[in-house]
Amino acid sequence: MSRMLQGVNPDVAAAVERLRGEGVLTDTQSGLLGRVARREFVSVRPEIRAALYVGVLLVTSGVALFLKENHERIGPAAIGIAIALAAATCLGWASRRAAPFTWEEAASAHPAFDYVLLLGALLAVADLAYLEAQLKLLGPNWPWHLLAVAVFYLFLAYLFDSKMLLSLALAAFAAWRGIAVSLTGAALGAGDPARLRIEALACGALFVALGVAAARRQRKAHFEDVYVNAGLLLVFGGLLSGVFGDEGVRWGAWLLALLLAAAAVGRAAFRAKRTLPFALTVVAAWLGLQRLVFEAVGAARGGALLLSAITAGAALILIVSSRRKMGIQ
Amino acid sequence: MKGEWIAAERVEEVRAAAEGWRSAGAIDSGTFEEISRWYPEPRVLPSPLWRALVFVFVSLALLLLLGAFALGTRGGTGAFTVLLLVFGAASLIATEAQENAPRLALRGGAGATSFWGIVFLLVGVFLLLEETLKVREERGVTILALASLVVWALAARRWGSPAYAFLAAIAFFVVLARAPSGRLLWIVCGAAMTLVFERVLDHPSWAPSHRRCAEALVASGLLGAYAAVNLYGLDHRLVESLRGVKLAALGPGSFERIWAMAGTALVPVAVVWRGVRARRMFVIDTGLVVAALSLITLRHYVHLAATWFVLTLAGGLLVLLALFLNRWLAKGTESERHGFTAKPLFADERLGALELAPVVVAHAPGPRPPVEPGFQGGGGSFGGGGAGGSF
Repeated sequence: MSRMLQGVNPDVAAAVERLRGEGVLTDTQSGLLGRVARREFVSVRPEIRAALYVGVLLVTSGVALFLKENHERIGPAAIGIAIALAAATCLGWASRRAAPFTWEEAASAHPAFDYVLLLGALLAVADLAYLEAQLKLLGPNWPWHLLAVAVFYLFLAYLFDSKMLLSLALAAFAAWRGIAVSLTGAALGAGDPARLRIEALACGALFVALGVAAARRQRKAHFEDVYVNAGLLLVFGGLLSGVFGDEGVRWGAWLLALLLAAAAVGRAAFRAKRTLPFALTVVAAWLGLQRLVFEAVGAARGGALLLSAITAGAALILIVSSRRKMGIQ
Repeated sequence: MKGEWIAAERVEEVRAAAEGWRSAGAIDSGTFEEISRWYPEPRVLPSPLWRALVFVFVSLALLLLLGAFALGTRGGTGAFTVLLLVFGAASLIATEAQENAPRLALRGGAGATSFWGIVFLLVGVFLLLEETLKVREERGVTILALASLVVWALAARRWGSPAYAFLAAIAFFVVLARAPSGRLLWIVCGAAMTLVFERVLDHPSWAPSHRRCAEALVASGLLGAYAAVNLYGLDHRLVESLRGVKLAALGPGSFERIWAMAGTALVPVAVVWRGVRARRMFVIDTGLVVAALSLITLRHYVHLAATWFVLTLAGGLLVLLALFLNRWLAKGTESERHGFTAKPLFADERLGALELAPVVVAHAPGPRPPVEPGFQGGGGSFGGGGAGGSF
């Protein structure tokens, strides 16, 4: 797909002519397809979408910086109202262009739809957080506003059929439970690791259950992959945290739990022909096994690396053979 | 590149295009099946995720194996150099074996073995020069850059990887930077590289992957020439610093700076204009990237307003510009103006799980802090899009 979007393609242009000559393509079809292949007709859709996304990032960064630098000078009321107006404008625009609500997947009405919706949601959430920080409405219970944020994102995600906002809703919910959604931090978050592991496992299981329920009940069934993949990330993250973070002798129990979970998820993903969950399973199981390898071989580090390389080779064989047996691309 | 590989690539181009036509609804499943009969799959082509997975695990196996042998042999630098050269050669032989097998060529393993094979060889050459032959560091780096240029260029020619063509271009510019008048060479050779390879971009006799390598070289030439004319690059002597010798204390003259200012302003416009004229999206995209770099350069030298204002204004203008362009194209005859359209044209716009990850990482709220025993919270700090943590 990406290859054909890169522009003129003499091989495809020649093939279109050949297929038209053989009667496989009609004149109308070959006209359009040939023009695209000869670069007489090109789409700037990806550029428009990229510009919208970068624009949204710049605006949210600018607003964040503005709040940081000026909140004392201007006062919370003026800032709160200004951001609320901006958020309402964006959400109003999205609401006018949104397709009517459906439990099925809705086609995007406008290339800017996802990004204006994202901008509106981010501004509204920033406003909520700002007012909470200034007015201290929830006092010591302020983390509850993260739950409010999650519910707000979830409502918008279902209303406007947005996987992007659903992902943010799940991240906000996890944040409410104290779990960091970060690729840079090695830990699940700050605080007691044992509690965070349990929170991650519980959140992950909940997300997976919601994803399965969405698919079975045909209520936004296309959200299933967001729920399931986010859930699996949390479950495997929690189990791996136990394998590598537990200082005592319990890491073996965590590893056993990880391998059992990986076996169950891998089997389900194999049967359902789901690539990403299967990939997550293989990576998580391989990572967990490395603790066993290095514990077993001990100080002989060369031997540990050799064993580790062998496990990587075994994972490779599993991946290649599974893909063939799954019968998918 | 072997003739049968090129023939397979041409068929794969048509099949990839046909899949795009089908998913966009331009052809039905019956027509797609008919096209598949005319152009049967020559090699097994798994999805990008499978290929990435295979790439990662082959890389892990290779690196761990190298580490195990390095620790096992317990030799000095000389032994490690030999090990690197042996591993490099073995990896390249493995690449050839995979490329020759239609079942293995596109699985991701060949990419991993070729990449690491070249890296092992280059590191081995570097150690050989520095530790064994005791070549002076300045000359050693030049020889290494030349070796990189040759090896990446040969790899791009043999296996048709645009990434290798791009790495060869980087090595080429490093070699140029180490010559006298490196900046001038960057401008001249960058422009020449662009003009030479632009001529073969649509050449039917070139293999599809070689045409993509040519695209990478055109973009590299443009970026190299732009880097040489950029005012910030001139003031900070970015090209000259690659030469490896002590820089003269004297900065650029005012005449040079005026030329650089003009170049910083005009090169992005020229690149975008050329891309629009030729309807080449990758040239337009390169032009947009250097335009963004020019705006950042402008901001570095001219402080018109507070940073928050500049960010908000730039973001707002970008959104408005994108909306205007979309509307303007949509209002053209059959949503087309001068051969451009804002319609997706066989592109799949659905967001995949992997594409959602950057959005979540960028905007997800920070986690709530742990509750300490006896602690009385006094309210949290406010967050931006993420609503958590502090700004």
